[in-house]
Amino acid sequence: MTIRKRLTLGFLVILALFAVNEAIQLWSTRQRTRTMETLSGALKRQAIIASAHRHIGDLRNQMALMQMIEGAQPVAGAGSDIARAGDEIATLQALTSEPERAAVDELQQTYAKLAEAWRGFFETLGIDEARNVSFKLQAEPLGRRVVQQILPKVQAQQDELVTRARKSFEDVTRLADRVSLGIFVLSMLAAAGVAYAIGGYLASSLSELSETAKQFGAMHLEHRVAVRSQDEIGTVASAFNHMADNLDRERKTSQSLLLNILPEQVATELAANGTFAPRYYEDVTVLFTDFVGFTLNTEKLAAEELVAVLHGYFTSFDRIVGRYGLEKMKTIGDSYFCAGGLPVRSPSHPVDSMLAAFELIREVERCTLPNGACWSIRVGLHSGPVVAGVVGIKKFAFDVWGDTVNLGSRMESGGSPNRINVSESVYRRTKDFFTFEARGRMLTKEKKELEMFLVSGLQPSLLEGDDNPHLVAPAAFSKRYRTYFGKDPIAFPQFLRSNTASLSPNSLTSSVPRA
Amino acid sequence: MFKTLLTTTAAIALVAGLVAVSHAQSPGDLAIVAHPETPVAQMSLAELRQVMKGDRQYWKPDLPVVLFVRAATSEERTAVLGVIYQMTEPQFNQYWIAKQFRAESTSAPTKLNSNALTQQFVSSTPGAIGFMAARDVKPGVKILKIDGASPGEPSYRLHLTK
Repeated sequence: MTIRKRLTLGFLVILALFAVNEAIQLWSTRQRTRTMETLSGALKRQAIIASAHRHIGDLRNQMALMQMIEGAQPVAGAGSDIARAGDEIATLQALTSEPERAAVDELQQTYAKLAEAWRGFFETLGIDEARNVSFKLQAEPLGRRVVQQILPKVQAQQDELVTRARKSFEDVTRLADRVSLGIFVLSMLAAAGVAYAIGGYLASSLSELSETAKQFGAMHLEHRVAVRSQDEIGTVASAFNHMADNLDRERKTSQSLLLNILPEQVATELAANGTFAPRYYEDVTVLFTDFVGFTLNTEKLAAEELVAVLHGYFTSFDRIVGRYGLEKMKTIGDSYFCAGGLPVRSPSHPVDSMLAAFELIREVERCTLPNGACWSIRVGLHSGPVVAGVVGIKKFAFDVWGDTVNLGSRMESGGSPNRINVSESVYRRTKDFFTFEARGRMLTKEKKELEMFLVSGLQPSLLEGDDNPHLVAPAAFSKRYRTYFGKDPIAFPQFLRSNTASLSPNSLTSSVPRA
Repeated sequence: MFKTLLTTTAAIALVAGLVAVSHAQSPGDLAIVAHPETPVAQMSLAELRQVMKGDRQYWKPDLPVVLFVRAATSEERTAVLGVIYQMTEPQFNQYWIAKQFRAESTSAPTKLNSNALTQQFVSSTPGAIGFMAARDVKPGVKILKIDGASPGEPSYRLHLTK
């Protein structure tokens, strides 16, 4: 149920209670009006009874006194007094309903006889004493009965009516007040309950959403809001989760893109700190490759084909370099530059770089050009210190600087097609694993003489007893590798194994089966 | 001595003569009459006074006292006012007016102009009591003894006056 519906329902409950209260008040007003009418009627009848009582009493006194007066004459106004009391009794009779009617009827009938006796008395006064006395003797018991019995009885009935009406009025008022108070209390409780329930629900839901927003702000995009309802809060929670899904996906995409151009450790530090502090690496191996006669070859291929060929080679290079734990630095035209020993320091980087260099040459020798022609590459390696870092704020890249980089490049440029040309430092670090041809001091383009060595192949002793093709590398090689570096090799060029162990560099090239 | 005796004898003779003359010229007794079914046969003068003054209004619960008095100029009324009510005529009228207006009486006395009417209404009205000259009383009413005496007896105390 939505919050709006809950609120509406709560208010409807309260309104219903108020409606009940209003109905009770209306009923109470109607009852009180009816009671007031009853009360008013009873009071009116009481007034009539009192008036009739007074008139009858006056007539009785008048009769008694007139009879005592010597030489009294008929009383002219007595008839109207008698009639007035009769009219009052008739009015009382008209205003009285059952069950009080019987007593009033008795009053009316008795008074009719009394009135007749009175009229006779007043008419015969001083004229016919015997009849006059007879009328008096008739009137006296009737008057006594009216005054002492019937009128008090009628009066008592009206008093009872007044008492009942007053009690009814009080009962209705008390009941209405209690119901009204009860409904007021219920309304307050319902309002408080609705406010507490919805307020609590909103507060807890908003608190959870706020916590989730904080988690998102802290880039904890794996956090999710529990969707417990289908209301507006549930919709917002679903939107939050959907937003988190999108943000997480985008973050992973960004991270993936970042990892394409930066080493993972560098990317992590950049993401965490916004910067990557330059580092000095005292021992890394840089590897350069360059396609021989690339400019000439470009003239034989369309631009798209050329880019496709480079893309194919460099894609393979990326896989090979990654397999040996090297870090691709960049490509410069047709040149491919990678390094071992950074950003994670590793002692085996000269050997790993050498093994990767074998595989790079092997990949080029596969001859995957569209026109069937074969390219060749020069590969150069040099080990030494570098400074590594990330520069710039746009299209930044992890890069290394130092003489080591230049010397590595000179090793490549001073090398031979499909051969690995290394510096003396590389030679010293890897000569127990590989065989070399010393080239002596070679002059670089800067007119600088450097000792260079061409790699001939793997040390033959390291291929001895290589009878288990399931091992990553030949057992002897792995043993030495483990002895030198304290770990097992992570990859090994399979084409260097036992059947090719004694091949010279030239035969290395020629012995590799061409694709 | 003789003179004293003569004087005494003369005085006695004078008194005796006066008494004899007086008795010979008396207008008679005043009879208190009531309806034959009235549950009273005799009463004291004090009780009679209570009834006549309206202080006793019922013979019994369902039988009210109905009081008849003679007209103001009658000898019976004069006798009753003097002996029973011990009031003058204005005092009598004032007494009953006040009693009536104070609602101390269920009814005022009914005035009758003759002993014949008194005889008629007392005999025909239950609870009735009245007074009349004893000589005019006829059968049909009950003559009450007052202080144990009936009219005509020497100890009877209610007499008509001229």
